[in-house]
Amino acid sequence: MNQLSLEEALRLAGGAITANNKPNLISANQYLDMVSTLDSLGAHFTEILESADLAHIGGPLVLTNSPSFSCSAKVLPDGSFALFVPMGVPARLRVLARLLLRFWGKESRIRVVRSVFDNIPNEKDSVPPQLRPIFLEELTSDPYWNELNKLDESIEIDGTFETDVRELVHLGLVFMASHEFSHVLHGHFDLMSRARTEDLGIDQSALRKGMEVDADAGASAIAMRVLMKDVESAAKSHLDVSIATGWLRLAYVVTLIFAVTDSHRKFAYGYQQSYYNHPMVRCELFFSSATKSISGSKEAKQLWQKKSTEGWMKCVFALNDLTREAWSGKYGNLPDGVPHAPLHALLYGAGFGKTDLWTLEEMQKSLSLVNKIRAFLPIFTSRKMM
Amino acid sequence: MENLDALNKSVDELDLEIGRALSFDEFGSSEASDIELIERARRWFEINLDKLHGAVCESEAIREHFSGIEAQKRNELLAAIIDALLKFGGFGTVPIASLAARVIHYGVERLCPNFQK
Repeated sequence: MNQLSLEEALRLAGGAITANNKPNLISANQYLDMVSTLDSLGAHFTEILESADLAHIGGPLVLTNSPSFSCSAKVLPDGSFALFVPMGVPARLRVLARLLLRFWGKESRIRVVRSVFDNIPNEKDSVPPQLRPIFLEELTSDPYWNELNKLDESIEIDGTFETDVRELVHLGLVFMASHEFSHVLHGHFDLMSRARTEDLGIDQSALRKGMEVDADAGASAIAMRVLMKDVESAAKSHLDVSIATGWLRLAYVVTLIFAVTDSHRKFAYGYQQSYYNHPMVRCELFFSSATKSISGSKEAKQLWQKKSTEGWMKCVFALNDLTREAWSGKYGNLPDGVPHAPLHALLYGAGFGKTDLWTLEEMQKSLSLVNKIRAFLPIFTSRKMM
Repeated sequence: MENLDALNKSVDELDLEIGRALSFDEFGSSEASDIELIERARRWFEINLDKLHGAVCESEAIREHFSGIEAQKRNELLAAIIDALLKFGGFGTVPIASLAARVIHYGVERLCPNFQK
């Protein structure tokens, strides 16, 4: 493939978002928040590259004019990298965070009974009209921003949640951009090129899937590191911050991200041809990798376990409450004959039940694949990691 | 014959194929949606119009065929465009038959106003 210049790659990604062409639903202050998150993340990424003696491969981290919910990493002709974050990521995180936080402290703890082992076709039709901009990707820019704006304006939420919404968007961007950055940091582009000309004893599809799992694991560790450093830095400036609240929010927003990711593909075995795992497996891997990344005391690990479980659980409860609202017709009616379905794919079963065991088995398979992949990655074999 | 199948595909189907090929050497945080791939292919097509002009509009073979509207002529035109794009090169992993069909959908007349002179 001919490598595109930064300008061409950026145009392909929809062009850069500026204060002048941002969608109307994002205020000037919210836009500045998003830009400063990327700016601060850029500084963290530079530091990580420097500590791995890879500072020369750094490149731009750009907010792009696209409603997509998938960030991307591209290699540029000079060997550096560009990381693109579509505006659809923070915009969707913001609106969904506002929808879900309405249930904070008021969770009905409704249980949606539905198994990931049910293969139900055409689940896209089960998303009510007003929630389609959150859970589906089917519109081009202009109609997309209009529909998302309408939904955002219809949300009635106590203004005191605004700080939480901003922090959730911030941490969501940290996690998603860190996934792309992990591809760069771990040398996945080089490995992909190598696999095209050399028999590595692993098929292309497994290799690609392993690299995605490796990027998820990397993103978990990097997000934890960035959060910890930011909290330490804020504490030095005598700001009222707490790692417990940070961990609670990070767990909440990562669960929210995987609730939106591939939400129309709920079937457990619908990912066999995909480079990605089922969102439940990806979410589980986040918690496992984040836990491993805590190098502090036993108390710190216990605090993380407590706050991360709380964040995950509160988010799942809120997602189920949103599903209940959707089924009541609050977000518009479904076409005739279309049955209700959960909005998200995080369909947890009983502890140590079939779903739970399947999730853990899939995660173990993924981790084993990651170990195979890492044997080819110099950053792990030469122990230059962070 | 496989190349000729491209002529039966809609613009969206062709753009989806091109969009998939364009994503071949990049990583994403999740699978790009069909709409995103189609949008990306359209942007790529716009970006590459000058290059496509260079590949297609200097070809005498295409000039001979471009005005044909019957099925046979369209097939010959597709073959001529594929040939020209392959000779010109530089389209990377983008499937050439899909790209040639996409050029026909776009309009050879529109891409090559010089053919009307």
